[in-house]
Amino acid sequence: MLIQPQNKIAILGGHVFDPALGLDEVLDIFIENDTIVALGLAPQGFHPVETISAKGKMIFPGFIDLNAFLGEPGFNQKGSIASETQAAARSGITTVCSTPNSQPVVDSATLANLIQDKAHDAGYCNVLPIGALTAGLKGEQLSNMYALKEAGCIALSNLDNPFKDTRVAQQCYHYAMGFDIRVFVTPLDTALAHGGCMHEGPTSTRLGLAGTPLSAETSSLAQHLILCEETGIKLHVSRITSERALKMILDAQQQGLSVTADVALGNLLFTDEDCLAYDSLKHVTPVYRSESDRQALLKAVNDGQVSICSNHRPHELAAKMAPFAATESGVSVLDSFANALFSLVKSQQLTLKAAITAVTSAPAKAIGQNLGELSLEKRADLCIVDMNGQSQVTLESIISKGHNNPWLEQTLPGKVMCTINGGHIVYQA
Amino acid sequence: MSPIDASSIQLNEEGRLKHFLTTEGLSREILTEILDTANSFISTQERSVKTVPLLRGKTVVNLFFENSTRTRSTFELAAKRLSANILNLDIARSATSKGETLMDTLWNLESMYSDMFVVRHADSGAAHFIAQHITPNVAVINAGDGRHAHPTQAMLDMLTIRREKGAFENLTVAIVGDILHSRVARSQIYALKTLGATDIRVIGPNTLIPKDIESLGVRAFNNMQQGLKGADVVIMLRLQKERMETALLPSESEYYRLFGLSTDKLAYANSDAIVMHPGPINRGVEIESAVADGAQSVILKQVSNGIPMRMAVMAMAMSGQTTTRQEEV
Amino acid sequence: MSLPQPEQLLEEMASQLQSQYMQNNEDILMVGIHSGGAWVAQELHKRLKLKSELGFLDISFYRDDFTQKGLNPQVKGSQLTNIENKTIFLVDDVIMSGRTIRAAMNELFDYGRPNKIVLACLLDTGKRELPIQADVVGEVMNLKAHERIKLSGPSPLVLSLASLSTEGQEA
Repeated sequence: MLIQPQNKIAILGGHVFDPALGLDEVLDIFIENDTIVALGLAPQGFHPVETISAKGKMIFPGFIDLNAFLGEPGFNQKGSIASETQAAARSGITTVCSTPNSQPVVDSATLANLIQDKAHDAGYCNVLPIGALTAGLKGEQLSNMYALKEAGCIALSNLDNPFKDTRVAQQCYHYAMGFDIRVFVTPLDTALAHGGCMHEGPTSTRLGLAGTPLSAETSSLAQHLILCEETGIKLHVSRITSERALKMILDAQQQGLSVTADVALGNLLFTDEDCLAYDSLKHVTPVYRSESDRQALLKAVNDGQVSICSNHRPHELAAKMAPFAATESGVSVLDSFANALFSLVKSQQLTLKAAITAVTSAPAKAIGQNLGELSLEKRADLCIVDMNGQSQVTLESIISKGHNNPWLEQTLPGKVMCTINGGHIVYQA
Repeated sequence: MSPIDASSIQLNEEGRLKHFLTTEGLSREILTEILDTANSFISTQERSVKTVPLLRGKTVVNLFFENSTRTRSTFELAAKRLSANILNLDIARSATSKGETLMDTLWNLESMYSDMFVVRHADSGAAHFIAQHITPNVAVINAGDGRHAHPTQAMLDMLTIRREKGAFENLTVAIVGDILHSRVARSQIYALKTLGATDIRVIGPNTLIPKDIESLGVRAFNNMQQGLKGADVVIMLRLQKERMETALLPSESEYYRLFGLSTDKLAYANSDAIVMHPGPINRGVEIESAVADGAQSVILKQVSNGIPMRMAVMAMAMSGQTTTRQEEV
Repeated sequence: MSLPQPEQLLEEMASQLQSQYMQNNEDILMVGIHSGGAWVAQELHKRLKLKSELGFLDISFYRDDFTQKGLNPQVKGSQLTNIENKTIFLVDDVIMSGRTIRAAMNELFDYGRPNKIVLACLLDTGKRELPIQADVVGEVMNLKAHERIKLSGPSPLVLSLASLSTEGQEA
């Protein structure tokens, strides 16, 4: 898609909602180049090239996704930077943190630059790569951490790959600390997980599937928090799944550690019981846990304690066509991210304020970026949403190359009408 | 698109069996019908001519992704005694490490106009997966999937119990050994519960008892004396030797001392308790020879009930597939 | 239409069997087809004072409409002693298409080789679909297309007429 430079845009009559700034009123927004130049009254002599009527619609800061796999390079059958960021744009997402598990792995500045270049060419989203913390994500050697940071990596992570031993993690943290590098960690003790493909509990027992115990998450998290304390690093715990892990993070924050956390959107919607019938679209990493865990995570979002990420993992059809444990884990989320989030608001499980905070200012803070706010002289990243509309999810309508969208054939609440990224209209319904 | 649970796709619109994947979720009526049908096949097995023409002209494929000569042979014999044509396929697990290949295998077999697949696979849910994606009017019988289910084995055990004990009401049944890895135990527990057994117990070390087993409606014991007290039926499970290598058990000798069924431990159960084992037996590992061959053992009866039970579920599932794809010539 | 009394028919059948098929000192075995035929066989067995044990056939596993109708869940099972070289009095309640008798004979041969089979039926309603005829019949009745006759029992044995909307019910 070719992006026309739209120098001047006026968005009129929309209900601007930005919890971080306390904005909750009908305001006109005026954009010039990539910047918001006025809220409320038009600047003198402002002649918009484009005027968008947002009457009856809501305007939110552009959403920030802290964890999405884009498939490129190396997994063309699963996704490309263009396809997946376009899917993100239709969900009102303007910033995507891409995961380093491409082929080759993002453990060099070249790869980090390539991804940002491709994203820029595609023009749908601002892509901030998460680099590999160890070479090849193998958990043995430090990656070129400084070069990665310099090349624009927002954070470094070993993702779902284990460290060879705890000392490797410790040394990574020490090294990162010296250059003010942020680390994302998804705690999992692979020995305790022991090949588990779902939450260990009554449902895994019923289905005869190997379960991942809670201790696989919490014992690993305890180690990482101790290393965080020892090294003083800025740690972001990505995709927590349990009430217990949440409590450990809150305790660590109380002690003054620089720890933030996010939860995958799916963990707010689904539980282990959804795996009944061996639905491979519920085979995800990390796993969906119990209903009480889901409730605790919802409460944490409502209390403003955690961000929400997509944990987007697009796959081709064949990857999910096998018995449950033999399928590749993960679901394609980006197309339906906003609608699935709004479904939690509509069912009153999340307040609108909490939901928007968790995908705007909270993740912006977690990555230390000056994003996610609708204020003057800030980058014009926003989305316009018809909260009374609805969106039908069909195989034909999804943009992601991933066929593994768990909401296929469903109708979800809300409809993103327009997404503006850096002053450019990148999506229009 | 997906059904609510793993059981619902087993039934056709009239509520009759069309696949047999798990004992979970099937009504008491259907389980009783399976037992009754198997019971009547027993009489045909005592004749000089043991075949009946029920599945004449049908093609049954034994699709074994995991080797099991014993189970495969009983299904083969059962199919032959129903006058079906049978094709045996032993597919090494390595050849189908990818989902596509499993689907390719299925599509290839479908194009040969098979009417029934008997599936054994190392992954839990494999038979369910195949039943979901197969052409309509092809029946799927689960011959064991991972740790999930082995419904024909469980039902032949139920048939044995019913023939020995008459009814399931007021029965106390103890299942002993490696519950964690046992598809047989899971299928037995669901069948026993539905058929009305009052007290179902599992006995074993905690490392071999799955988390939240109580949610299946059973009581767990770590001690044979307590667990066997008042038992009418004692079901011993086979212990795989590799459990000793994966930090689940200390040694064979300690396991046998604590959980092996010896004559003196059997005395904790009711005096008329029957002893069962799905086979093959590890003598001296989970059961003493004197018990396995003793007066209370019904292990050989279980084996002979295997054929009529498999005939019953094959015949029922075939008739539950409403129309015939392959016309008899 | 007035329906005959089974009692009278049984008397006639018994005397026919006695006079036509029991003159020689043959080894006779009576076999009733579940369910109605078994009741009729029970009555005839009593009247003929046969010494050999009464046999029963359940033809569920031999039906040719299995794929359309499925397995009868109430299979009672067959009970037969050795039939080798015996004269079989095969008994059913109503003969119509002849398919039940075909299935019964197929099953009989799976038990062995009888010397002779004599078929006795309480009623013959015509409508044959196979070239099979009864040797001894209580009464021949011509039914309309939608009519079916049903025997209920075991005691007393009562015949009743039913009107069916669906075709294909075998008797």
